[in-house]
Amino acid sequence: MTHNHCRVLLLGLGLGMGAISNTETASGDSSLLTARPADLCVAPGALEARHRRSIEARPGRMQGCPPIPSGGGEDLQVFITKADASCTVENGSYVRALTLYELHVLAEAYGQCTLRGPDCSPLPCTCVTTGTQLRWPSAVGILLINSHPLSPFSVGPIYPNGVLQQWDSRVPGQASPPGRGWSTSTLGEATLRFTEFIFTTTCNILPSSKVVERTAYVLECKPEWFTGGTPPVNFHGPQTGNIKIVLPSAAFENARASAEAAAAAWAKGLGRNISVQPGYQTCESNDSLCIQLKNDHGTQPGDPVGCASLGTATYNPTTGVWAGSTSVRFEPNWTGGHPDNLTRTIAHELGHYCGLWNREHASCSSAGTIMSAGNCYSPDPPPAGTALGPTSEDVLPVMKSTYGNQVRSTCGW
Amino acid sequence: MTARTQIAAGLIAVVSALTSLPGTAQAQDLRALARAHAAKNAEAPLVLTGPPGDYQPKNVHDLARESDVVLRGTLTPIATYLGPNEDRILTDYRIDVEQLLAGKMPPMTSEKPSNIPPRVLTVYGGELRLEGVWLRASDPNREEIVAGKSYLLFLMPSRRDDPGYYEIYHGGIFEVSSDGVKPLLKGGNKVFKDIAGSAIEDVIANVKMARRGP
Repeated sequence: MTHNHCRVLLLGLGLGMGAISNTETASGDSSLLTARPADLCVAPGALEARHRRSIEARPGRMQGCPPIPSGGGEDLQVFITKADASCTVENGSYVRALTLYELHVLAEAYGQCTLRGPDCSPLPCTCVTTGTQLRWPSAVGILLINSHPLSPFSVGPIYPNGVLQQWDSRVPGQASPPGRGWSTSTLGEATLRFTEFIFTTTCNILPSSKVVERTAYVLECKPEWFTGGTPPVNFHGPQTGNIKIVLPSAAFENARASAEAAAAAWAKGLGRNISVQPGYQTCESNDSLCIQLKNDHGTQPGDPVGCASLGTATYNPTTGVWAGSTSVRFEPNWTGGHPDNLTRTIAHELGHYCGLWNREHASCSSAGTIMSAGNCYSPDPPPAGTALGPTSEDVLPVMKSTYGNQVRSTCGW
Repeated sequence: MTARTQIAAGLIAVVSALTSLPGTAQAQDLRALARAHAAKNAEAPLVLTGPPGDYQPKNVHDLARESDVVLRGTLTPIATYLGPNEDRILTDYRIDVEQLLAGKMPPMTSEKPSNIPPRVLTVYGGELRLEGVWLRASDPNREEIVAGKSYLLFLMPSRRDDPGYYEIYHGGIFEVSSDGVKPLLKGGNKVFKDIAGSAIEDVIANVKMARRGP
């Protein structure tokens, strides 16, 4: 009877060993495989009790039934729109200060962990599924990083309503709060960092987070760029090299100080050398770093409206970079104006040279941008606070877009 | 000013005149640019954009009153050529008048056919071959004119000062369609708030009212 029992038990252990070995190989714990047949020839129930005691005495023995990970993958998509949904904020584009935007996310994380435990009834012990854990995005935190001395700021997290492996804050009922509102008064570069926090389960299915950043440039005045051509390009002077402004004759001497002031302001803004050349000279036709003062604006067929203009040049159709010299063109009767008006006029035309268009949106003022309309030759000084050179609102679109990412989309105006 | 300083100023003027003689390399001399370009890569066209304008908002009454002629008509390109300073390309369009709304234009008939004055609109832009190179210029201030389309035109005399030649006044060129009048001017919806999108009949009525005076 005992012999028969042992034979049956051995047979059972073999099946059991085979079953366990699959996982043991994975875990590296093969202690159950080393059991001698003699040890197993014990009274019914004694082996189960011995094993249970052994497992309880040695916590590591529980690794005999490790959880099994399966699947994976994650994604985080970010949607930034004006609160009235009239436009979408593209990465690297321009947004308006003190304007409400809605931040939404589509969070995804996949995979699951099968939890298992030993089932030793009946003996031999086998690993059985005790439960399943889903890997899922448990929250998305949003951080604002900008030039404010207290930056970064938490815009706040967004949570899913339940254990969802894919949830979209734009879908009613899927997230709390249903999106976040964002508005800022701090001008300049702003980065919104979205961090998807992922429940990695007992199986620790990595990664535990995913980060997506969106950069926007915060301005008060709607930026406009000098564009044209097919395909459209942003016209502008070369990004490097010393820009020179030349006076063709003594007739322009009254504009020298204003030209120097305008050149210095742009030089400071762009961090490059822009200077008015001594004496009198003209530009070579193909010198795209040369800008000459002229006084023929409004006299030529095809001249546009305005009190001055940038005498344009040929350009590289691929890059938009001027391929020839340009000019700042005054009207023939330009003299007699207040020097500050002339400074502003020259700085405005240099803005066109650098790639900016006129900025006439209601959000713009003569204090906020050099690219709004001016009174070119008035003998009266411009109103107090009028910008006589480029402001940060003028420099940013040049540096970040024209000389940068070429993104020229705006949202908020 | 002392005699000595007057002489010095005179000398400066003479020197400056000598340094800016016509014929020297002037800013944006298209012929010189085309010649230089032809030596490098004659196959690729030279592209050119016009000067940006500063168009302040203007209502239909002011636009109509300040224009020399207001009409509805079609445009057909007849010539593209270098501007007088050779710094730009200009295109002439023949104006076929559908309806003269304000102002006077030269008559279209004459006892001597050779004396019939033109009705021409001159605009910035166009395409021509110069020094073996194709030059293409476009006006960044407005959309392209399409031959045969119906336009509402607010015109002023051309700065070339020839009778019968006109230019667009204050960007006042509008495409006429069943959807209303559409400004060709960049940002024209803001510049011409009371015109853009209006029915052509309403705009015509306003033009006539403006020209009759208060």
